[in-house]
Amino acid sequence: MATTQLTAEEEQEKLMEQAKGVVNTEAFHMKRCLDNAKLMDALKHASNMISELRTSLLSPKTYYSLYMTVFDHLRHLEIYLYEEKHGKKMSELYELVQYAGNILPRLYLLATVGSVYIKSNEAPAKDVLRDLVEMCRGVQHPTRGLFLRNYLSEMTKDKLPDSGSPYEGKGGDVKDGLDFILLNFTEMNKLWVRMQHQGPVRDKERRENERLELRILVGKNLSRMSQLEGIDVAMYTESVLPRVLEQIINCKDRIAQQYLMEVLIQVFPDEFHLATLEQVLAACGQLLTGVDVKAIIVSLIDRLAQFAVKSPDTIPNEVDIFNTFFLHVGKVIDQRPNMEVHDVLSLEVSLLNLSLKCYPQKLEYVDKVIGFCVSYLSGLKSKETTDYTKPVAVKQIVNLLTVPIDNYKNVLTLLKISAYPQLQEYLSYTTRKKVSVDLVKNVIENGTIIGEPDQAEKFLALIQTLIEDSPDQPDRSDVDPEDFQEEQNMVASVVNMFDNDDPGKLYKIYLTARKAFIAGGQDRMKHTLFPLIFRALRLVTKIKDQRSDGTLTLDDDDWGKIGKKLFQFVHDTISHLKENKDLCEWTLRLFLQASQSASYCDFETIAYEFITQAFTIYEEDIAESKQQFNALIIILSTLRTLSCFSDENNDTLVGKSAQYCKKLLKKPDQSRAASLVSHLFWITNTSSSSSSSQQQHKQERRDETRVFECLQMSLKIAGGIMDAGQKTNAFVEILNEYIYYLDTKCGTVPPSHIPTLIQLINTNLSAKEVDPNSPEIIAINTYYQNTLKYIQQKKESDSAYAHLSVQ
Amino acid sequence: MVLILVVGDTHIPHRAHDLPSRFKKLLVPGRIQHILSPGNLCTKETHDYLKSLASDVHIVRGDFDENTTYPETKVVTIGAFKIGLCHGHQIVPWGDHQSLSSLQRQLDVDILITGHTHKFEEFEINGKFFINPGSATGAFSPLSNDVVPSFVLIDIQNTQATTYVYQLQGEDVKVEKIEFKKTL
Repeated sequence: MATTQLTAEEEQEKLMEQAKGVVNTEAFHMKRCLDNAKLMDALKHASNMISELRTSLLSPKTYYSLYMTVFDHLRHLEIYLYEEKHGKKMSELYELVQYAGNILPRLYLLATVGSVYIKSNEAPAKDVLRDLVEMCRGVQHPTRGLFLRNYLSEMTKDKLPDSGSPYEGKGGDVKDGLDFILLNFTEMNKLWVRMQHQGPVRDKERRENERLELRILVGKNLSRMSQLEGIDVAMYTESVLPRVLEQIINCKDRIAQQYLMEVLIQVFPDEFHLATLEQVLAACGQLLTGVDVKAIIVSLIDRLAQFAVKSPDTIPNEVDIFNTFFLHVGKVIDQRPNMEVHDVLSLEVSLLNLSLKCYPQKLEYVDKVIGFCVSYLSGLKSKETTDYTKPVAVKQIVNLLTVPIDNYKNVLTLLKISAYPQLQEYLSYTTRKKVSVDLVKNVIENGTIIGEPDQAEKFLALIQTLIEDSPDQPDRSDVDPEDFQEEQNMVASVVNMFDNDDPGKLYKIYLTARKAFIAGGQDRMKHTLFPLIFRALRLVTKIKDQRSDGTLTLDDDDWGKIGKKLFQFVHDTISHLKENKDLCEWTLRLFLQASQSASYCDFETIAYEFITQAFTIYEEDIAESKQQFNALIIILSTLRTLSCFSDENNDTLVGKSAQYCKKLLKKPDQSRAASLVSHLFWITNTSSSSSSSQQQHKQERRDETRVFECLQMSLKIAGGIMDAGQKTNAFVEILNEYIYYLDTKCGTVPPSHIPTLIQLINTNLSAKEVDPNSPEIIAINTYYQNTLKYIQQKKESDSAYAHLSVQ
Repeated sequence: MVLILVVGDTHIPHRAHDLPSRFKKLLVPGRIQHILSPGNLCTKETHDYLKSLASDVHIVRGDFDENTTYPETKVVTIGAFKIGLCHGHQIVPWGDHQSLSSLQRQLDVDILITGHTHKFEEFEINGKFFINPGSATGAFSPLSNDVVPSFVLIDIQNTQATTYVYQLQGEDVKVEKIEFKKTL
């Protein structure tokens, strides 16, 4: 005959079903007896029913289920005892139930009757309570004892002598209620801790799990305490907390300490915690090393931080919660040398959050926290442990750096925290870079202006990982060029955030920045020096304008010195880029931009020098024909805007550019360039330019002869172009130049030339080599037809066009 | 209704750190169909930002654009309008109405968009329309003092182009409306 093996769970189910069966049967009988007013018999059945709770076979979970069933049935009894006229006095009943056979049913019944006893007011509450809580000592079995005491607690929860309760006065006062709960709590904790040591070592894990299942029973006592109305801050400080802490510390049990500290913090109000901060933190220091003190302290810090944010006025000024926490956290960390790095750091992060939330003005607190972390980490480094490089620890170090950034939204505040830069040293290259990028993004997104030279210097030092090479950076080949470019462009953006109304200070900042950027090497300079150049040009232009409109008084000498200094700065900065031959097109353009500013500020020699530099680059470094053409156009168009030159200098420069035109490789380019040169000889203020008054030239030039020469040269070269399409295009362009000069009232072009040119174009277009359907010819023809239409329209309104005949 | 954003000469990061936040709030993705830029953005990041606003983006090469593959000129047909794009640093003299008119004839467009001067301008010559959106970031220019940040929005309906110019004066965005009807 085989017996079926049941799993542990199924065993428990079976046992519980059996027990419940008995319980329900006895309960049924009990109720029937009560209905028939047979009290003694009912009590007998009740006793039988409760006896099922005497079992040792059930796990905490199943025991709980059975307990609840019994609990419900005892409710019925309680109601009967209170409401029905059973003729017995409470004291009598109280005696009667003590005759129950076994101690457990006896005590359950006592508790039930006792609660009714108190409710009926036939005895002082405190006496009954004391009696009950003492008698429960009779049950020393952990599980059974815990549930019994829990029953007692449930039964009496609304019958405690509290301030304002009906049981106050003769029944006692809140101190008695408190004593009752405290004693119950202490005894329950003892039972609970005892569970840890019952049974063989190999079952330890199961026992600990069972203990965790029962923890709420013990914790509830603390909740009860917190619900007593009569406990104020003073009473809590003197009577409640010391005794609770004593129990927690002395029980020397890890599970109990961990759980009960957390409950303590949870159930009592923030005001109580504020008043007793020292004691609680000191107690934390005395907890066993296995306890996660960090979690406890962090939950306390977070609670108080939130409280401080919601009701800032309630924090008394004498209570400096930050310093209290800081001191004790330091002590705790000292006492626990084996504490994990990330735990230490996350404690400090909580402190940081507290300081930022509650004391946002006190930067010294943030400095204290970060300073502490720096010395802690440096201590680790000297011991040659690398625990701080583990991801969990790194995460906390990054938090320490980025939480202030996000909080202040202003890097200038960050710069005042002296320990901040040192913290970065403990991060890997990649993480340091990421923090630097966050710092830069913060400046850009918040539009923070960095005005003081020392601020700029400190800031650049903070983002050093972006500015120059680091010894621990990866190989160039491992770096994504797009990412690199994006980072450098961000740094470049920040240069635009350096600003100060005092030009001297601003100049100092630019010098500092340039020094830092040059140390970064050519790869970085080609991104970071550009904005510096433009900012310097902007500065010198601004000073000139302020002088002109009177906002700034500066005598000619001083202005001369400042201007020279700033333009020298620009010159030197662009020159640093010159070394990189790949940048020749850019450096040429930069020199041209600089020359425009120099002209605007009337520094003729300097403008001339800039143009010379541009020409040198053009001659020496720009070899490819397309690049040459583009560069030459910029040179010509720039020259046309410069108005500071003497006639002699102007002639030299224009002459030089004209030479360049002739040296271009392709004829169409030569032709175009030559016609553009013509514009250098016709500069009037009556031409409809779009720019502001600034572009009103200080000197007009009206040299019709030279204009004509250029156009004729252009025409001659065009005539030599062999490709029919390109030749025709060149002619149409020249035709439009003629029209330009007609419209600007320059009498350079004899009237006969235009019809002649038109004839020439017509002839070329109808030549047999020309394919009228090719896209190139169609485009040129469209240009040409539009030009003719324009001339036709102008004939009706402008007398200059009157003589033109258009075929 | 077809909306075209005309924006250029931002010079980020060479001369500005970002578009003004007031402008960025107005530029919501999904509302604009086309973006036409006369160039000088100058970097990929700004180009990507424009691409996030609309899928059809046209850019021509400015003298400081990092991307050297942008064309010198471009012609785009939107609705009834042929629109030309050119940065304008290639036109001598810069910003000269007559010279721009010549370019318009060459490209054969109804509307010509150019930049470079960092100064907003709109004018008409012989039934053709010329727009310079200015600099969206108010970037420094040796040609203008006190550059006002600006950009233009064009609303095309049949042969009518309504332009809205947005200018940042102090903290406020001022909008002006100018209408242009295509002559057939």
